[in-house]
Amino acid sequence: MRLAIAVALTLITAMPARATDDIECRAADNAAWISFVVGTTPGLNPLGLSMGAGARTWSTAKENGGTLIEVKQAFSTDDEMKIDVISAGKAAAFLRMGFAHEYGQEPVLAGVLHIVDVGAWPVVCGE
Amino acid sequence: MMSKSIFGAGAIFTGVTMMIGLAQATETTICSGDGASISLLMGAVPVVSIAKADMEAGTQRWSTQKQDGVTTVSVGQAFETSEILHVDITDENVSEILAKLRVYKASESDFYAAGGTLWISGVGAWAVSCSGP
Repeated sequence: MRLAIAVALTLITAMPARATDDIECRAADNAAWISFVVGTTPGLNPLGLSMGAGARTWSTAKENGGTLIEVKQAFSTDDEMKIDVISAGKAAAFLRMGFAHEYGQEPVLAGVLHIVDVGAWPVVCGE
Repeated sequence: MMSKSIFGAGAIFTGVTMMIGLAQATETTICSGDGASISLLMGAVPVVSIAKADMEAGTQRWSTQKQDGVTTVSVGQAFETSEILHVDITDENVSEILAKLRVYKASESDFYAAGGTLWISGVGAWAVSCSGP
């Protein structure tokens, strides 16, 4: 997973379309989670996104059940990733992540997930 | 005599106010991960003011205050909003960035979350979660 994140983040900013990668981020004790598929085109363009907190789930895919959501906007740089999610036209969630990498070691992607009217959690991706 | 008493009471009040002010003048934010942490003593003032920074990873330690066995560093720059806290730690001469803290904040009713990454040059990178203001 960590390798996938590194590859995804590198490709997001640098390379033309080739494939997709899954990124999954979880709060401690799995209180909340978010997962999304990213294409490897330049820029961050989640192709599908699901999230959950407790017994509640949200997804951009009807077949996954839960509350239907859409990705409003997404943006990534060499060291940052932001995703805003809406549901029925209203803000539903905000993901704010930092990306750090020390040469020769596994990269780290971590930040906070805020699900509106539900909660906010520190989350770590790829663990 | 009357004016002396009033002056005395005023001095006591001012002193108490100053003591209260001092007690509330700083707040500590601690961000820690699995193997590294950074502690920031922040001035509780309208501008971002880091009075002291302490950082450690494994057996290595860094601080903005000179101490034996601890590498002295400086705060190169810091930026804080309701959503982020970004801090760059430099060497003592402010010539090279030694560490980057990138924290994101969110709150919802009783929930408060602050988390992100800490990168220390030549040492490693960690996911961190933060407590504090």
